[in-house]
Amino acid sequence: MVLVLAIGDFYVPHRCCELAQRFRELLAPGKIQHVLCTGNVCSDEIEALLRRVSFDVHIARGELDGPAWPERVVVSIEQIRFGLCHGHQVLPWSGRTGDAFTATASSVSAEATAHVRALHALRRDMGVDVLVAGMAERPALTSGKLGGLVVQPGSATGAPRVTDPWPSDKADNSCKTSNAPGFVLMDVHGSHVTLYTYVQDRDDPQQVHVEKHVFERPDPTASALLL
Amino acid sequence: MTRSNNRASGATGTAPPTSATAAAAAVFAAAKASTLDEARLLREALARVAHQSLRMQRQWKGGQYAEAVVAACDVAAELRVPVGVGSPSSTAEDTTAPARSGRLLSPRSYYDLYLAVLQALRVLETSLWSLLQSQPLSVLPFYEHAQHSPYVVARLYPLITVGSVYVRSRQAPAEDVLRDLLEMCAGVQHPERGLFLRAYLLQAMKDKLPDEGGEYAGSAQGSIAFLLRNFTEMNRLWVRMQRDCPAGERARREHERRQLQSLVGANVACLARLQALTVEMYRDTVLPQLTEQVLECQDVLAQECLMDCIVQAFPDALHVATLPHLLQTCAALRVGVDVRSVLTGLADRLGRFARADAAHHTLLREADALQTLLQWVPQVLDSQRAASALSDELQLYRALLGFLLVAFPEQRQHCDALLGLCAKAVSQRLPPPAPPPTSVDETEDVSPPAPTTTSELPPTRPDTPMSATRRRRPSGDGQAAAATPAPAADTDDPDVVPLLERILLLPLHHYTELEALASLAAYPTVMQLLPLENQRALAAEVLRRSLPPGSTGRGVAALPLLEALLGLVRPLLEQMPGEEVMYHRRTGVPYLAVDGELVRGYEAQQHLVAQIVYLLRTDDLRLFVRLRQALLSGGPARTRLTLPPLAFALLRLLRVYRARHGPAACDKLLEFVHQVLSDLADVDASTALRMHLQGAAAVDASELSDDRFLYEFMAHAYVLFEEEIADSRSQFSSLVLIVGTLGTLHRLDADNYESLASKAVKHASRLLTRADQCLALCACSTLFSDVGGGRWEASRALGCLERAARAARSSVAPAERALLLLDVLNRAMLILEELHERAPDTARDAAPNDVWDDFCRFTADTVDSVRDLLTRLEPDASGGKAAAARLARALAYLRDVRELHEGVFLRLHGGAA
Repeated sequence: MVLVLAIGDFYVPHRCCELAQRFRELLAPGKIQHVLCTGNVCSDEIEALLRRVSFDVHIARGELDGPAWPERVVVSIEQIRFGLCHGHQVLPWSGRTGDAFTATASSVSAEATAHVRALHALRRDMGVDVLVAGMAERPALTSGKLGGLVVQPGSATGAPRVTDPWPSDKADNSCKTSNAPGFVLMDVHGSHVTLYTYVQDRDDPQQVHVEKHVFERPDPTASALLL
Repeated sequence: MTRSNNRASGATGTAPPTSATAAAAAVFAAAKASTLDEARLLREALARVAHQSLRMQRQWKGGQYAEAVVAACDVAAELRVPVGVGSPSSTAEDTTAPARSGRLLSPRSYYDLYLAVLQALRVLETSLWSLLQSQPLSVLPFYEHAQHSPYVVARLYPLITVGSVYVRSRQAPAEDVLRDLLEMCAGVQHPERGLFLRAYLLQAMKDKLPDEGGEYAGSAQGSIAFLLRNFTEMNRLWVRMQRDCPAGERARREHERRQLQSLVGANVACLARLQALTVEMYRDTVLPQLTEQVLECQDVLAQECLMDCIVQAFPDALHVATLPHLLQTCAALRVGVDVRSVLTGLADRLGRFARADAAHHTLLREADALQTLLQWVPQVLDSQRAASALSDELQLYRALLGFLLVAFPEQRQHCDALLGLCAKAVSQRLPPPAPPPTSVDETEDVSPPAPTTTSELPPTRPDTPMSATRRRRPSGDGQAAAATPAPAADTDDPDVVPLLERILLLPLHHYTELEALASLAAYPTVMQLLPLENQRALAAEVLRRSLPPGSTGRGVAALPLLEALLGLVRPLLEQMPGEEVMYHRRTGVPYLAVDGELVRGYEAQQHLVAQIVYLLRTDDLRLFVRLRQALLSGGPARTRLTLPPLAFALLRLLRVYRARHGPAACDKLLEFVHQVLSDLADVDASTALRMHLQGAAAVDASELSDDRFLYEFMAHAYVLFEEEIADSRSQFSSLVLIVGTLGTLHRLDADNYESLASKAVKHASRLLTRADQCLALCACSTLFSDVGGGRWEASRALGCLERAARAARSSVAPAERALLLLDVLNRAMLILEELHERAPDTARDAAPNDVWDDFCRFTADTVDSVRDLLTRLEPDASGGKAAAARLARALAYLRDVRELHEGVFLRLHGGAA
């Protein structure tokens, strides 16, 4: 059992003030083996926090990060190949959202929007089973036509986007108006991945909704014939 | 005698240097000799004590009880040894019997002897007690035996021992025995001996005093009287130790008296432990008598120690009831008494008292404790003005503030007054040539600081051109830094700065609401007394405490509160003299530096400053304007970090602003955003470009009817791209973001979209490297291939891809050529898929149209090109393997979704395999 954390789009302080205390508690050191961060870490403090979570931290470059981190990363964990990319390089952006996920909460949704299709094309091109990408407003999982999975952990801080509507028409710049913060934890076992999506409740910060999904890598013999 | 002569000559210091050293050596030798003498004296006395003690025990075992008691007298007789300091002549008249050639024991050694004697007497006590348990004997004969010795001291010690057993056996009323012993102890008037004797009396009797609920019958009044009397006598003896002392020995004698203070204090402690002591008794009898003694003795040391002892010994509730009396006494103490530490102790105790239980608050309120303290403390301090260190004074304010904040948190004006006193205390101690900045004496100012620094600092007026603060010369800054030292750093006392910090942290911990902290006008003033680094750390702490989600605060909704907050965190906001800005060699990003060295850790603090905007709970633009103005005073190294959140928050406000104030009001908001972004563009063009794109996205989502601002934001992004971004990597990534944003905008007028999109294509084809051109053109193809969004121009999408393929083929390295063509291929496949997904009619049924054919042909051609390239590549050429794997994956997908890609396969030259 290997635990892999997919997390990213912190935007502290650019869009949001802090990582929620509840998440800090959940991300205690020593439990998680690998961290795949989709970028937009922005502050050294958050990076230090990630490096405390695990020794093996991979960070892809978000649009607000400096040039220190790579655009794409490929990591093999057990029998699964993971790709990591923030996703702002993957055009078009249109229709990027987590709606598909909430519509079919109990199962992994099929690819829907142009952006997610482009992400799947990138996943195929990189030759990875699971692509971890950012730019979603909350955790979203989408499977490809022929297998493969795109995991979008959403924003760990619930950082809002300028295009997001306000929950009320009160002028309140505090973090309360942000989206629901979330991340995805993956339990990798051989070619089998159990995914847990964590979403913090917007009204009760102590409450975290966890949902479980399963991904099985398709039998590689089919594609091996082609290679 | 020779010793004292030597000492005198050394002390006068009139001798020439050579003989002065000789005299010093002589003094040293004399001191050494005297300690040697003293040690021998003590050793001999201890040996005799041991001997007599053994004799006593032997006789007791032999049943010769009377002789044993007499032997105990002999043991106690050793305590008649001469004791004291100073010249032997002064005590010669006291040292009668076994005085040995004027040698003296110091009180320290006398104490060792005293302990040895006490041990022997304890043996006597237990033996006598066990004897009484076994036989019904009367204690009275023993009581009389003990008085057989001719010497007073030798007689009284065993008498006290037997007396304590007498009380314990209940054969005599405790009160009578106590009174008797107390009378007799008056017979010893030698200071040290009397002190120790009475200390023994107290020790032997303290658990036998009649008390409420105690074992021994009698009135508690009698016990109090006994303790007060004993205290009075002991204090007199203790003070007399000093009087008999020659001037030269003063310091040493004071030191020795300090060692004995606990003997006197034990009486007070005993009083405090009496269960029967009521508030009335304490207020009417005990405290007046104690303080009368304290005041009467006119001795600095005694007053200091005893006041401290009184404050520490008695329960807090008693202090609360007698606060005025206590403070009045403090004010009447002699000059030179360290009254501050007494008051500090008192305030600390009251603070703990208030913290312990909420019910204590009402008690304090009823006693009007705060008013009394505030009324008396200045008087007390005035009476002692000359004689204390700054840190003692601050310690007192710290304690008072702690008490105030716990017990009376709502009394902010007093808290403020105390902080003002701190500021006054510090600025008064400063040497006149280096005064604190003039603003120290002002309260609540957010104007530019001291005139001396104004020329060096960027003015905080609105609309300051950023260029004024850029690239300042370090030499001038260095001078300015020397001219304005941090006031508190000036003092030699290392405690002052930590104390001031503790004082400033107290309100921070107690007031969770920012308003409360902001109402303390003196707070920033005290803060300015600290060295800059500490000021900044404290300001950061202020922010950390007020920012959500760390706080439950209500945030900032009005301008005055924002002003106050900005005043509090000003050390973080402003560029200080001595600081300069260094620009990253490649990216041109500004960093903060001092003396050519990058400042570490400033970014974390500036991230806190950047979050001030999240405190604003209002759509009043004036607050945002004020915040921008404050942030701008930080110089480029800071605004690079602090402006983006401000801009983002404003953009996020847009929707709600439109809903509340109507579309017309949004112009003002958006113009202000433009201002902020143009400030940002001066320091970090690449982030400014990204923020402009965010602006476009915000306007697009805000349901504003016309696209003026939308176009404006995009146009500015292009201008920044063209004029400010020179690095080729940065150009590529910025262009991709521009294209990505443009693709999501729905409210752009068709003509505007057209001009912006063709501009993007033009920029893409002009990037520096072929690889960048190819990838950027692939990205641009999405601008015309959004089938679902209604932006579908097949010929232009295909045109982009063809240009991309051309750029790829122009690349020199064959492997790179193949890899780039694969990127083009993937993009073409995506467009096919999109086309199929969104408009299947266009794709297949509706008249075998050219578009579908064109894309299929283009895809097939690209596949052929890549295959062709790969066959000509060396098998182990770098990139060749990767390209082959990518091609295989692309073909596998083409095959797997065969029904979609039939058109491609038909046109492949090399077939499907």
